[in-house]
Amino acid sequence: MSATEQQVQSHYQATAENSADRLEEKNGDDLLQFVICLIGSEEFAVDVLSVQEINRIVEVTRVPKTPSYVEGVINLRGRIIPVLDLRKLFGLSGAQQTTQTRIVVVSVQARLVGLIVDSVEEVLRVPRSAIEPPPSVGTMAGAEFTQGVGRIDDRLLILVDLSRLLLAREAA
Amino acid sequence: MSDEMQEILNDFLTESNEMLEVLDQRFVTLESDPNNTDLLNEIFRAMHSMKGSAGFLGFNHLVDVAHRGENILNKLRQAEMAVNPAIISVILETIDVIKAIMADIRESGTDNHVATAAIASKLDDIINGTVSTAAPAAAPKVEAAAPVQETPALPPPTLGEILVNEGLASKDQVLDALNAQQHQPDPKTPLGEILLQAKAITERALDQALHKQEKQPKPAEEDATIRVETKRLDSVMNLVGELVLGRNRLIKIGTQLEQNHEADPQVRVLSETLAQLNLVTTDLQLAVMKTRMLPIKKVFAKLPRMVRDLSQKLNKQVHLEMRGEETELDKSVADEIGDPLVHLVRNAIDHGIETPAERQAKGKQAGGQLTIAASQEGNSIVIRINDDGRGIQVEKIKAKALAKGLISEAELATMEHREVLNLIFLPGFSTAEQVTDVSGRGVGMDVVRTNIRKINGSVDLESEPGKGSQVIIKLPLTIAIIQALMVEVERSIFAIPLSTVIEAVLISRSDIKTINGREVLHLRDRVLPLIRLAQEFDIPTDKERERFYVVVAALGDRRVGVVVDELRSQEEVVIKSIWDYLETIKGVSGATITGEGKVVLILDTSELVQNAQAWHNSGMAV
Repeated sequence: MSATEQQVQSHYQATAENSADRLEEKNGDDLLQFVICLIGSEEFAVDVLSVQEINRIVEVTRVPKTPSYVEGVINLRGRIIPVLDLRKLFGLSGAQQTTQTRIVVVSVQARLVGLIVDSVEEVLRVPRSAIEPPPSVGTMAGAEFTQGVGRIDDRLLILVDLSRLLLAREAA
Repeated sequence: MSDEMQEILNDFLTESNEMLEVLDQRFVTLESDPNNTDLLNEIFRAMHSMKGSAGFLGFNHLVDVAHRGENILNKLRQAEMAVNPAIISVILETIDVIKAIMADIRESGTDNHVATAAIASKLDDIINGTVSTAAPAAAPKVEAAAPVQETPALPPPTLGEILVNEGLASKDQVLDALNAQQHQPDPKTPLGEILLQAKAITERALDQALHKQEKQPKPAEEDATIRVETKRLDSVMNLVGELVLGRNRLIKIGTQLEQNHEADPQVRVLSETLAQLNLVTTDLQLAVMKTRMLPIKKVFAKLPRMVRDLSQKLNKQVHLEMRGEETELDKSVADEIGDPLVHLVRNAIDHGIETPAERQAKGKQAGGQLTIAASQEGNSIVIRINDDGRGIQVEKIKAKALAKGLISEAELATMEHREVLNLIFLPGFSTAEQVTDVSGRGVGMDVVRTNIRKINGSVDLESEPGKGSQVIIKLPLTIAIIQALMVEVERSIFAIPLSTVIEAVLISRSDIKTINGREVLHLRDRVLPLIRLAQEFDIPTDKERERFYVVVAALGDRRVGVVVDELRSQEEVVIKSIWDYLETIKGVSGATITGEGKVVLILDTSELVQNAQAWHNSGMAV
């Protein structure tokens, strides 16, 4: 395991424990787990079961003649996987890569896809009851890729519909 | 024996052995439940299907025995005979003989070594009713067992048996020695030594006997071959691909270390280890590739029948000759080449070879000669399809290509003879005056070329009017790992399959000329259309460079110059499957991972060449 991965994993574990502690109190049995990613000021939630790993940003090989949100392809331990820039996909203005920038590797319909996000915050358990359908009229970022909205206290989580990401790719 | 035959034979043996195992049990059940017709039917069917397979494979002794057994079973089944222990015994003996024959087939490939006469006559006796079926059949059983004992299915003979059989020692001597051995405390002296001490045999005789014992066939339990799913081989190949990439990476790192720390003895040891790893990896790669190799005979196998049918249908006489059938190629290549080959052979017979009358009028032999020859040339497999038919008239092709608007007159004028010939591979081209149901719909040659290019091969046509044509197909040995030229464009690296690269030249900006707005390069009296990778792939360029490298890539007779900034290196690259989406990007055929661990896109040269030609042609037409 590379140093990066170790770091990622320990980070991952730490956040997982952190949120587990917090949610112990709620004691609800119908909990969903999400990886919370930050893009701009919005919090996006990706189903934890779809996430294979979280990596630091690596060198991305650009692929010509692809839509702008396709950042390119990366070498994931011998596999070549595409990487999408969620910022561009969700129509948010571009930001520079920082040390916090991560590639969230998700498995969508048995295919691995990397998603570039500004940072990964934590793994959060959300009671099913806290999830609402996406607002019908909205100017929310990434509205078309939204599965629902999660409300935890005064936080608003945008639940990303990964299968739509794939559809976007096919439509493009 | 051909591989295919061996495969069928192995299947037959496996199946029959399973069947025999079951039969043994069934007979025993039958004995206690003699009126069970379902059971009898089942046994009968098993015996019958085994007989069928044996007959197909030409094992006549086996068929003979099985047939007689089947006769009896049939009578039992139809209640013309009652099941009794005597009959069951004989049938069980029959099964034993069949097992012995199976062992013989496995060993020698024939069924001639097992005596079947005794069992055959016994079976006949039952059918004819000469043996009282009521009497217990103890005596015949012993006799019938005799032939079985001679078969290789039994454990190898002991040293004593060999000595006696060879006349090297008398039976008494061996028995004495065995007795002496039995009375010894452990550890016992080997029999040979006792006999030597007793001076019953000479040392030479013992050696001879021991040697013979070793040579005895081993029980035929294991096969020399195993069948492996292609999928498994594919995954081994993939792993080897990973290993090759890993090795490439290690070697890069090692070379850098060597440059920076030349004096360090540990670095030197590392280099040596890497060199060894390099060798082993290359060997492993070759070995794995070999497991995936098939003789091209498998692909050729369907041709004779097709040639025969087709020539009859068209009232032509064709003599087919196939050479180099043992040439091996990768399974994935073999799978892809079958259809194009069939198409080319069809074309040769339909369009190439004339009718007997026409041929005789030209002073040729009535029968046309069609030769298909395969051979390995370096890292390629070359298949040549020759016919001595009417050949192809260049003028006809020119007229056709013009009429169909596939090419402009201006361009035709600059084309060489062979270039014109190869126009027939363009989509929508067909020179047949009549469209027949055999060939000539104008899709064929285009599809042939597309299929061959798909596996990184090339196809080329030569023809002499009146004398015949030759199609030359060049195929890579394997399609998973290729040699590639790494080029750099604006700090992006791309891989160009080396098989399509003719040369690379360094030019300056002033060498690039434009014809009708298209960039070209005059290279040794040839006008080479140029493609700027940076433009093709929308890579932003910082500033116009003064000097460029032009990689001359070719497919058949068409050439194109790919303009790049730098040549990097030649590398062995493993083609990796990439996102489906990327596979549809024009000009990119796949991706690989370099020694530095970077992802590099592999250019689809055929696509680039085609694009350039299309551009070029449209430019000319304006």
